[in-house]
Amino acid sequence: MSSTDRGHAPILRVRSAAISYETRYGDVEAVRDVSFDVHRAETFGVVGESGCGKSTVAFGIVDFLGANGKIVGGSINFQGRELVGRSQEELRKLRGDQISMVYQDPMQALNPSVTIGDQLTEVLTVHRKIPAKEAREKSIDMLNRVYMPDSANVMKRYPHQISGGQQQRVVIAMALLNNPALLIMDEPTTALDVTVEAVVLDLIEDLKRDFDTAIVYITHDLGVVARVCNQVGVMYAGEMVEVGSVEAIYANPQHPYTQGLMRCVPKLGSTKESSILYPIRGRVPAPKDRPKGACVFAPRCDYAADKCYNEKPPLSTIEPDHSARCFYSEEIDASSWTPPEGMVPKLAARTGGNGEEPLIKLTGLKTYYKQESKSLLSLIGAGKSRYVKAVDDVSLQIPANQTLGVVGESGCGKSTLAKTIIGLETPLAGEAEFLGFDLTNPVSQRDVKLIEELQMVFQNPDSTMNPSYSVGHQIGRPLRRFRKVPSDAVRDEVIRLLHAVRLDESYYRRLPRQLSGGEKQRVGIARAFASRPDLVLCDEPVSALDVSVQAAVLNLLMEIQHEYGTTMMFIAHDLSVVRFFSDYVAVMYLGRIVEFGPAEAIYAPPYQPYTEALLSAVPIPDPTAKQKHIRLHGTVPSALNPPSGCPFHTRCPRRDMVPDGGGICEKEIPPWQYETEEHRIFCHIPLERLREMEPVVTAD
Amino acid sequence: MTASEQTMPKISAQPSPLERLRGGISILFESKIAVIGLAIILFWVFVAVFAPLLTPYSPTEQDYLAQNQGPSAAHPLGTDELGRDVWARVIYGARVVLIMLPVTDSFWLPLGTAIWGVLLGLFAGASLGLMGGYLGGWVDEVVMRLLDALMAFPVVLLYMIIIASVGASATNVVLAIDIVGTPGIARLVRSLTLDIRTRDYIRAAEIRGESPWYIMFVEILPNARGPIIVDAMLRVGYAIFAMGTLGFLGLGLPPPSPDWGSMVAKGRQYILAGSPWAALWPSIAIASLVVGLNLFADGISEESTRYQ
Amino acid sequence: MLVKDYMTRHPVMAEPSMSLVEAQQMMAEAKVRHLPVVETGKRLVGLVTRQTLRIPPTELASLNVWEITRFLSDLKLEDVMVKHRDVITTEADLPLEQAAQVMIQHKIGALPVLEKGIVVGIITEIDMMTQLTELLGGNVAGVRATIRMPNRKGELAKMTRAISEQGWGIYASGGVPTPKDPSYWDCVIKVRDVSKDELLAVLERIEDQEVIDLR
Repeated sequence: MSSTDRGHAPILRVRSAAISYETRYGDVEAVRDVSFDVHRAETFGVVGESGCGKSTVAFGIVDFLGANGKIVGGSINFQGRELVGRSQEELRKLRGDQISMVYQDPMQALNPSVTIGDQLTEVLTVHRKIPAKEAREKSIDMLNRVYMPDSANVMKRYPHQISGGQQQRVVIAMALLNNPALLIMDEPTTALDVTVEAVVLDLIEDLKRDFDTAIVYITHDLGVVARVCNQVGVMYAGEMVEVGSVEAIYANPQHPYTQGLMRCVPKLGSTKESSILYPIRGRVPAPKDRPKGACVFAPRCDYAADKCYNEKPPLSTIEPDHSARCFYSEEIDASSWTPPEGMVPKLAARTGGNGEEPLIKLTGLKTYYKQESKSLLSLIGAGKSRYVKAVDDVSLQIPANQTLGVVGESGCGKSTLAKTIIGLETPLAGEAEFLGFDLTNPVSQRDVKLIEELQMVFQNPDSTMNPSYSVGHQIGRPLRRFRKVPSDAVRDEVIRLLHAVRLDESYYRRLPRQLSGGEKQRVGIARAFASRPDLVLCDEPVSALDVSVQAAVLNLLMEIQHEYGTTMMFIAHDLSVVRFFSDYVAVMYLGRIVEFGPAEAIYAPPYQPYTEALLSAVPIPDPTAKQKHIRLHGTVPSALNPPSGCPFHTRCPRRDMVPDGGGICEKEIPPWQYETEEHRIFCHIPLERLREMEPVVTAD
Repeated sequence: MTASEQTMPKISAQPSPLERLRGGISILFESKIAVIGLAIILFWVFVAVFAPLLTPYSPTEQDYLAQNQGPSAAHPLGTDELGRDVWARVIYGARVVLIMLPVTDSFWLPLGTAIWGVLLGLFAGASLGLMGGYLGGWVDEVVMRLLDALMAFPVVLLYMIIIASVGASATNVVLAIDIVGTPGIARLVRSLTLDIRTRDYIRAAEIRGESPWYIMFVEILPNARGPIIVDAMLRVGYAIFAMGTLGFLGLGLPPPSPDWGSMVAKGRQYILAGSPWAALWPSIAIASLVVGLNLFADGISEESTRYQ
Repeated sequence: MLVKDYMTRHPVMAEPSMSLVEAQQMMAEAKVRHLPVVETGKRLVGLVTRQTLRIPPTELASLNVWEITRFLSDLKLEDVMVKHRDVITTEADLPLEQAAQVMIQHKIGALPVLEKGIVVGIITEIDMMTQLTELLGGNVAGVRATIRMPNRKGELAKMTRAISEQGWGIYASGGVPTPKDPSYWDCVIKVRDVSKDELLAVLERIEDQEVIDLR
């Protein structure tokens, strides 16, 4: 029984809002001319890349902009009352009673020194004057409402004693105890694992329905938008360039920027061939460099005409409930778009694969971290040490010239696996062989010949480069250290490498702080490839980048790999990226590989139940795609004390498919079952039953 | 080379060192506190450098006809109990603090006693801090426990123990300042190291098989420089203070060399006798220089954190 | 069919210190006729309707022109609102008809919905009519039939059985005692995906019942 269409005025109406920040360069307009409505029981998604002003819009609604931010124009109307120009005191009252916020980092909203129960009940007892006992009951109810396991117990704990996903649920519960008319969520699931994210997104969907709350949902993830939002506003460089219903925007994007975004997001449902990513050229301009009196997107637009550089396009309505800020949106036909010359990575036919000797071969590799017990006994050396089984009995091989994708949630051991291979951790047991070298030694005991063949690309662009040295120096360092080229030729070689990562010579002398995230990542890639290694490990190399930059970096990595004939291990949590990128995929859970095989095989039945759950949790940037609804409950068990038998049995949604009803899962470690010679599944469920599974994603 | 990035708008090219210096100075001038501090420091550096030109007297020249005089045209700040010109003694005193370190009677090193003390402290402290923070394990335990033990002593007592055991001379004062300053610097560098060692570029260096020394001094140390410089600035202030204290207790530079601390100690006896000048000026000198250094350090740390 | 299913959650609300002028603007902007007045924590302190915003002329008669403007601009909601103890409210868990009875009894158009003194919603005549419309399937296509049947047990079952035997479903239904004749019962049903003739043919075969309206 919907109540959205009873002719109510919107809960929130924003008209031509403009927000500026004072900086040492003068006022910088972060957001301008933003207009949208949010109705009750409706989620309005604000989507865009970093630096486009999404969060500024969210904070601007309640004027939570900090000392140097201010709303300089427009109107923000909440339930009939104008918020612009209100005193902080009035806004604080509104924020407490009618508008709630949920941030990316739940700890920002939780007090670490107060129990969760006290924080929740306080919401009800302080202003609402509800008796403590009743407030407690209501709080527990609300925790149950957000699917918190063992909620009565959670009330007694402190925030740091529960997992990140649970913290976020507590924050949402706290926001809902206020029963707000408007809930502003700023990337609430970005820091969470994909299976946890899926649960939180389901929760948001339920809450919208049951509490009639209007939600403003800020995110960079087009997949998340497709899953939870009714209306979407696409932001670019501080402007809302396209607004419309989620169906209209995904099926028929009108603004060239939206079209570009859609082309650079990896899609899980499609096949590998069709999932080539097309980056948007150039990058988001900094607020002070934005074009004025022109279309902000014109410098990066494939369709830009003279008019676009001289006149600012208005937000024009294309169809009811869908408008775009583009002069030519009627004429542009996205389906006839062809990538500009050179944007598609030129991929030579792959060599290698079957039959060849594997480049790297791990057998029964175990890396445990020693966890000293904190008891008095351990002080005198008599305490029992326990081990965190970060990598447990991992066997795999990567053929030369191929890419292995390793996926799994945080804490599954995928990074430890990489560290073990590269020599930063020493395995406890098992064999690891690489080109005839033994890999079980730490890096300090390895031969220089081995060291130069193994390099790594890191996750965080801001810490991948030493801020004190120039780009040229840092790329040159491995060349000098490994004496790859004579010392007078280092500079030329560095410039050649810069060109290989599509950066020009002028970058040689730049310092890292003068580069954007994507450029830093490119330099990191150049540095890794400088010694011409045979194996490059990429630890989430694009997860910190915006989608359009991510696409460019991924394409670049692929191209370089082909050029140099490098083997890669690609660690990621994003299953769509891995599919696009990898030849083989290993799925890890609690230190173990649970499924291994060619990429195509992993994404189609038979699935290991954990793989199936992961795939069904991935948000797909297509509101019409059909995806199985499988949610994992509970949390990942501690690697200090992993469950007996199958590590996944505590959360497995498919235990009923095991012939004896799942008893064996607790007792015995599952066998490896070979679907093909290369595709193996770690599960007690017979392959015949696994083969009967439906594919997780079916596109229309 | 493909087209995808060629059309990308170029960010401004690498600024020349001159421009960067100008940028740095402009940051400095944003902070009034830093400017005031700098002015005070530069004043003392100036008078120390040009001391011989700024007074006709020598700091040790005695005049029995003009003892314990107040300020006058001949002696702008007055004279002390032996008729020495206080202005001359104060500015020559600044030389020892800021611009020269007398090693023997005939040989001196540039940079003053306080600065040498802090520099040596920085070297020792940074080395120990880097080792403790980066190598960790038992090295960290041993280094840190030793330094904790050192820090447990009251500062003045520690100075006195050191000088009393090695004798009073400019080089020994340097040694004392070094020993007293090392634990604090080591702790600071260690905490910075603990943070910086988690960065990916350190892992990249480890993966290249770089030696621990290379990683500590080439990869980590330069990135800790900001807080270290600010801390060093403050420590020069403490060192000047310490020199004053030692001089006052008779453990500073041997007489008759102009030492602010001993000047205060001598002059103190005559304050109640009606001639406070000889004690007042060196006190003001110590105080103003310490305050100047503190202001400057505060100003730059504030400005450099504000716009990160 | 409880109040909480039909009320408007998150009603537009105001503080007691809000000026009359602003409240009027707000009500116009948000298109509402009733404005619960709440203190911090959304605790109800009063109610303002469009009528209460009208100042009786007698109060203004004694003032001159300038005083009137002043008087008006100084007025706060707390001066004109119906105070909490006089506001008739309801609870979220009550059946809808019970709330309706309260509204009929007091001849009022809206009830703030409270939970422990905290406003969680508001229910108005419009909400009631929405419910009535939905009860009778007013906004779906289908054949609407009014059947008059004797007021005794088993009659309704006879009719529904007849329809379900055809494989049809009753989308919406409602019944009232026949006006002025309590021995009969008028029942309205809405059936989808049938033609009028098909439905009539089935209904006419039921004994003792009469189709009095079909559209």
